[in-house]
Amino acid sequence: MSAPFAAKRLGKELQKISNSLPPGIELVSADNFEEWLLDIRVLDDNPLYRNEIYRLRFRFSSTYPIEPPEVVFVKLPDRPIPIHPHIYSNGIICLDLLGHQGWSPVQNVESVCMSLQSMLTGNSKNERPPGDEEFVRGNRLRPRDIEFYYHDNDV
Amino acid sequence: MSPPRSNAHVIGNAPIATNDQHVCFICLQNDTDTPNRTWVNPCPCSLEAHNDCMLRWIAEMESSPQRMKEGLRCQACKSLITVEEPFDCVVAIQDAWLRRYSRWSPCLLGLFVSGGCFAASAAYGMAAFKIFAGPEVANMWFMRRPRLSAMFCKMWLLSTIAPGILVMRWMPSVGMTLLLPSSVMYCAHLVATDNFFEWPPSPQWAMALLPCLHVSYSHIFSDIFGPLDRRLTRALRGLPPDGSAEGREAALQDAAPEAAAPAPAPAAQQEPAANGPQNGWFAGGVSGLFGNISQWFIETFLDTAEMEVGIEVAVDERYGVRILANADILDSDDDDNDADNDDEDAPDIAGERRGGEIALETGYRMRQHPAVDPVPDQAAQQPANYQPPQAGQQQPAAQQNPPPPPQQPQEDGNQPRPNNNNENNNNNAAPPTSGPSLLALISNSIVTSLLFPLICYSMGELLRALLPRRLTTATVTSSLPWRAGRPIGLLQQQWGRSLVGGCLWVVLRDLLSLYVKYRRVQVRGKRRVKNVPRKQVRGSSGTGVVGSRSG
Repeated sequence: MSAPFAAKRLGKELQKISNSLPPGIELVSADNFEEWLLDIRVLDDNPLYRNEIYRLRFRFSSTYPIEPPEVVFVKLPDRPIPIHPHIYSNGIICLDLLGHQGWSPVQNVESVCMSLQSMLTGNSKNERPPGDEEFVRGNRLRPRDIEFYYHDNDV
Repeated sequence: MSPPRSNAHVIGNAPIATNDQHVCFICLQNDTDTPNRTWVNPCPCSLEAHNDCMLRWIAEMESSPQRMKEGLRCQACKSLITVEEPFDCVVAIQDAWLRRYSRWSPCLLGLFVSGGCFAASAAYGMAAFKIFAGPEVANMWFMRRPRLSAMFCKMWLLSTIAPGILVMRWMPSVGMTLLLPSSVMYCAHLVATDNFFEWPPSPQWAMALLPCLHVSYSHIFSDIFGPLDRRLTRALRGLPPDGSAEGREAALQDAAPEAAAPAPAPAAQQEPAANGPQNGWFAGGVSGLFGNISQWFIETFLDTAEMEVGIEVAVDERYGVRILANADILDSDDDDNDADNDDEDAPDIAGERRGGEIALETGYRMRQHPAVDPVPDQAAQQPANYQPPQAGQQQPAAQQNPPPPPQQPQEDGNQPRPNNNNENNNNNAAPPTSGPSLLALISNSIVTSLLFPLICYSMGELLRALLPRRLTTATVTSSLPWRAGRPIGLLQQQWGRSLVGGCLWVVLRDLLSLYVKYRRVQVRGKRRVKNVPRKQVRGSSGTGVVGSRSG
């Protein structure tokens, strides 16, 4: 049930996403049930993110949606990493929703995108997380594990 | 950093299917996709799921204790999700047992630990008692009433010795606050039971009177030497004593008058030492922690204490670390570690060779180098004036005063131990040029406090070695030293000797630390920053001079 489990669910999601997506979110590619790419942009006039489009990469494990997908911003020539106090400059996102604790199967690709969208919209700080440079230099962990680590620190 | 709580919490619009179909919020399949599966409504909200999807999700949740803290809840409406399972007796028993056991195991652990501490403390107490009063006496005391309750009571008493010593060391005011009232009550009890004071005192009376002795000693000592000590402390910290260099001179010369004057006072110090033959160990330990009522005591403590605090706080900012602020003047026990912290040779006029250490509380203490004799002329004179009172004081008061100097170095049997320990502490903790670290200071102080019984014993043995035999040998031997045959002098029993020795030690230590502090001030006065030879610099004549020296 493991591989088909995620695949079935993703199939359903894809089916819905390809029909309709909220404004500001676009599906770029979903060739398989392991990695999807989406573009998001901020809808309002936030000067930090005006006229920019950001690329999101979703990676799904075979246990999705029991486990959260791995979501990062990807840097491309025309796709910068948005500046935000919870987004590292290598694209890793520090959001409880994407960690083991905050995740729930109620979420889906679309809802994650919308959460990120609103996270950017609501931000007015033109800064990276504290310790960004060292983190980016030293980090070899996968985002999921990092997230977990932060949660441990918080509790 | 904390991950942000996503405030825009978007619940996916799960129902993909049309109206009257079930849709599993986990796998998003509907009735037609999965015809034969069981559906559940885990919570009041509209979420529904396949039973096995739900169980899978729940199993995942259960694997993480953090997420289970709030119980199993629906992610959308936060209502509790209940899982039913058939009752299984084995599982239930195991779970119940585990719950109960988890509740009790911390208590058991605490019990083990405290039991261990109690046993260790009691063992220390017994060892201290044996050293202090001699093994026979200690055994006799312990075995006198071989009932279990009495034994336990004694164990408890013994186990309070070590904490008692430490409390007296670190929180003398608390210790005395507890100690004095109970000592008064104990005196009353003794009198009430027709056990009147006579000379030489019984151990009971010795114990009862020791706190008073201690307080009066502190009082007297700070009365006599307090001002001098404060001046020295100030000078040592580079604060203007009372203004200028003259002020310092004045401060130092005060030493002389004070040294000359205090003849009555030292007598007083000794007197209690002689007739209230008790001592910090006995009081602080065995009779434990008792208290204080008397106003005069509070005054003694508070006003000197406040002055000290004022000074020390001012100084703090400049020198950083500091511990045990005002303790040294006020409380004799407090100086425990001052005296034998260092084992350098303090060049002494009297030919004493003792490690002296002061100003623990200053945190930056200097060390004197053994090779250098820093005694300047003036210093040589001053101490000469200053010294006699020590000797003079002690002699009239009690015949047991040996010449103070030799004690420490000469006791080879027992004494070296504390010294070595302290030395090691110092060496390990800090390079020789700087003062010991805070940790080393603390460990010095604890170790010295705990070795106090040994020090008392050593001093007692020293007294026995130095004094005429008739004073130290029991004329009447008896099986129960504190009951039968009445000795004619305090020094004829080991506990008495230890007691007097301990008192003597405290007095000598205080005086010595004061003296060393004085010498330190003297040395400080001659301090100079060393010129460093510089490479020659062409040009200005001023630097040229320096350069030529280096060349």
